[in-house]
Amino acid sequence: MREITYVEALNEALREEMRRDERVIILGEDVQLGYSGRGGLFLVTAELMKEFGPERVRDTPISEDGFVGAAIGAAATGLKPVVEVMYADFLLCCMNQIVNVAAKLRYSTGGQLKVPLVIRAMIGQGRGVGSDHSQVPLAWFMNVPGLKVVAPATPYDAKGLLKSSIREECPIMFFESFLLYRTKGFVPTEEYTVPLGKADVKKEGTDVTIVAVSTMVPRALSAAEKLKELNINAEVVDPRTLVPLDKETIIKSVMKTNRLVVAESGVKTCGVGAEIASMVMEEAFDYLDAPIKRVAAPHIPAPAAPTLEQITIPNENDIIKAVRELFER
Amino acid sequence: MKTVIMPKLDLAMDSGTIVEWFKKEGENVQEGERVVSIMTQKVTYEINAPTSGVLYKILAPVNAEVPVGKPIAVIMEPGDNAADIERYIKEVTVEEVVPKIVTKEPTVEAREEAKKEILRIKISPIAKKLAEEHGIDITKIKGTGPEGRITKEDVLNAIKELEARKGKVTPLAGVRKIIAERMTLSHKTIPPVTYSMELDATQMIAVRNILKEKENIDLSYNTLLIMAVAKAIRDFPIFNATIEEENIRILDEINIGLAVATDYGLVVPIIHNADKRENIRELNATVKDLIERARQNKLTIDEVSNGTFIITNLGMFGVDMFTPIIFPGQVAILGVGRIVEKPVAVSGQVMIKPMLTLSLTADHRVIDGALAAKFLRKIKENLENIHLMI
Repeated sequence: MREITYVEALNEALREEMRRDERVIILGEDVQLGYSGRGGLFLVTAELMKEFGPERVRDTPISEDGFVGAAIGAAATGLKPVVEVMYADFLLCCMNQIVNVAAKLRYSTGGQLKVPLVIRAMIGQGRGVGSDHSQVPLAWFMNVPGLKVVAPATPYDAKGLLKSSIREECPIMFFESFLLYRTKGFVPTEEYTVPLGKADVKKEGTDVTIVAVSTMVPRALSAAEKLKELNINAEVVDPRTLVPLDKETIIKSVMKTNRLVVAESGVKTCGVGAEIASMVMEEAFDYLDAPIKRVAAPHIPAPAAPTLEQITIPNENDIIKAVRELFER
Repeated sequence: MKTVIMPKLDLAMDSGTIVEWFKKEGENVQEGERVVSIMTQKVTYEINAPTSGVLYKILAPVNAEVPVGKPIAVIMEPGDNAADIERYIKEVTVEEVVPKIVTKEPTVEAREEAKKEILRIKISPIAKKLAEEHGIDITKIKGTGPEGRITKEDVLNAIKELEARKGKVTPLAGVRKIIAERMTLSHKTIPPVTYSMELDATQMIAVRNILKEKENIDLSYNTLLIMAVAKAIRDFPIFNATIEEENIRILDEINIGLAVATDYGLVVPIIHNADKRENIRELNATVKDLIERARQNKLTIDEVSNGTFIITNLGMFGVDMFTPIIFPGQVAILGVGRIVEKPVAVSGQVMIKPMLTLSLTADHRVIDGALAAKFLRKIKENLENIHLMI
């Protein structure tokens, strides 16, 4: 069984889709060679320029507003751009392009223009890179109608979801966890895709559902392992795409376990957990046996000091604590 | 228009329970025709229509307990006006309902208190849903969740418990209810002691056989027991007494009750003046008739009233000995076991004899052990020499 890293899986997805469809192009800073001399800050675009040439793998100036705008135009006129924005924090520089143009163009033109665009960005904290390089803004984009929001947690999902995203006909916000970039996992050599809007039950359980987003998936899995010692059999559900959200899988799981913890690495206020918790309250209130718990970052900018930053990042112990509170006697 | 009312069938009766309506609303009834069956604390009784007409309205459904004198149905006679009857029904029912509705407006404190009561039950949504689905009273469940919240597990446990107790539920009503009340009262208020004594039933069997052969009379052992006990009571009148607060009243009439097991509970027909019935044939006929009608639930109020001493016979069910419970208002009760052949030592020899065990429970407030023993011995002597009494 072949195991590759999350980055290698993304790289394969890009390569395969570029080979499959010549309309697929890549834009971003340092995507051609970069510091590594191979392509991309974290090698997601490694060796792609060599194979597909600078026409399809384009370095851009440091101007997110400009190159995201250019990508929207390219998409509207028939290409399939995949844009790399590096840190998700930088998405703020092109928010108007994404929210007011990309997300709405198809609607405001009555379907005459489509924007088949994938915007890749990294999320995650813990590298001591400060409050403007450590945000996890998934919920911001979930709040925008017209965008799909994808957040894979494993190499398998990363490859399958990126391939599906490239094949979509609408703008996709594709969030990669740089904390997971070096994690390895099984990825088949054969062609496959992972459909958008389909959650994955990463571990089956009976006593509590932990819906874990992106970086939190491996933490939830190791929390679930430790919860076994407390005789609590947790089910871990990875939504994989946040828009569209696979409500059915989450609700089915909650109806089985009667308890829910939502774990995300972004801030708690108006976060992914808030949305999922509210959805479950609306659709499955009668099946809850305890209040829903949210595990998330506190409502503060990420501290630059590594020791302080670590305190703000939700970890496996936070998940265990939240679950235990639901069973407290 | 005439109303059918809940009759007062004896002095102690304050209410009756509707057992069955023989007619439906809108059906014709003839005067004197049975309309409804009611159950009092002692008997089931059929009430006849007071007039001919149409059973216009049934005011008390089956199982309703209705106070004596209250209307239970209205019969419409020819020429009656439905509006008048409706007005009348409103009147008689409003009288019942109004006092319940006109309650004092609760004070602010009381309302707050009531609100608190409701808020105090913490229960999770799934637990509440399950409780509703299974008809579990959540006020009876102790929550084990955080801050005492009732959880799914708590309700599941309650359901499991309920299922363990599953079965057919019948209300403790009518005869059963009165038995329950009387027996509890007895147990609470009377200090009982049970004495048992074995006797030789040879003569009882002989008398029974002779009467069968000579006169073709099916003599009941109960008849012999009643005779023997009534005669013994004549010698020990204290066993025919009742306690009235500070007094012991020794009663003149010796009215022996015979506990009869029926399909609908224990019934005790009374053989009035049992000691004065010299003729065993007549007594036997009375006893048999009473037992038969008790089984058919057809005794009159008189036939179950004013007992002074009860005999309860479980011999036919194979019981040897037991501890009967005294009927409140009386001071003793005699339990009778089966007649069974046993080896008995007689003058240094083992003989097989038909033996019978009596169990006398006496109220120790009134009757001391020696007295109870003497009385029991008298009954034993009477039964062992029953042939002399006939």
